[in-house]
Amino acid sequence: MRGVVVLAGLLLFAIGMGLHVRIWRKGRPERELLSLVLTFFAPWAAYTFTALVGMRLGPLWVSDWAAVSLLYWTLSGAYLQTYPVLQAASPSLLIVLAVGKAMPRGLSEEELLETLVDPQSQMADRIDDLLEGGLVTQDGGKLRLTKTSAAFIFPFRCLRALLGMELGRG
Amino acid sequence: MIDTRMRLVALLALSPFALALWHAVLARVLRSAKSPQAVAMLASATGAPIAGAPVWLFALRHALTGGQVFWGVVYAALVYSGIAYCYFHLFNISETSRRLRILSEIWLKKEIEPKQLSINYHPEHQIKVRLERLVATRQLKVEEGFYVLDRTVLHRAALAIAAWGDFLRRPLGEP
Repeated sequence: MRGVVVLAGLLLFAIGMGLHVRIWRKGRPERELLSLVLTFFAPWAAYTFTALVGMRLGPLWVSDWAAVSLLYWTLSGAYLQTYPVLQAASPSLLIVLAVGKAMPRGLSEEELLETLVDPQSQMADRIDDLLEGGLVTQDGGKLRLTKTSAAFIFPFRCLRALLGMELGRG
Repeated sequence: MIDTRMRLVALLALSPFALALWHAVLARVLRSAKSPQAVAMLASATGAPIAGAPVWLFALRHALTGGQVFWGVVYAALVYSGIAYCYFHLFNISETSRRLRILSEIWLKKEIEPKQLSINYHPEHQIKVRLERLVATRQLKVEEGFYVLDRTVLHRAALAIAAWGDFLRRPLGEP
């Protein structure tokens, strides 16, 4: 492995992050997650295009391209998986932030529930989200998966089966 | 003949599967563990030598210079860290996502009425489940009836995420 390959992967990731920061600070795009994926896809696509056009194809070039791409997508993938936490505000993060703010005394369970429970948030809302998102259909009062959602949950079902685990508690 | 770089890339690209198999072993051995997330974290951390051994044997050992070995190790460490992080996140989603839980229940029963779903979606229950998890992973502890910080890893991560959100002008939790 040559150092230049590692540095190229890191540089490409820095370009993706720079692009993301610049776009978001100017004004957050409406379709946030799709825009984020496209923002990170753009530098990689440009690198791949430039490499295809500007360099001769050979086994050495292909392995460099594969190495840079793998490094770029593992780093970008890690960021893309973290970003939705900002949008969805993970309850666990909100809990530790609330407790951290109240240190050294901390918070009682009642205080935490009072601070964090949204009484408007109900099961029906989650089902409505799934219906609106086209992940579930409702016919005669019964919910069914669509092909998209069946494909979406397939890798998770495989993972849980491999681990010998029941469904997560949600 | 595949060159050593291509072998390195191929072996690292296969490491999520090795990690999942190692996690499957640990999940069965540590079935009584309170926190499935802690087992997944343990699998990610201890999976490094398992993924690293073939990388060394079939790729890095054949590097021609010390410099190539050094950069190969740096590369493998970066890629494996990213893969282990992504794997942990996927597992965590399978454990904690409410939408995924609903979809999985529908898949199990083929069709189901909303009132037949077994997930307890009462908002209070959701917070209590998370408090249990945070205590099990020692991010929080209970002292004289109050939840206080124990290990500060998640708290520091939460502060960093909130600060990053502010920098992006995308405050945490804003729809």
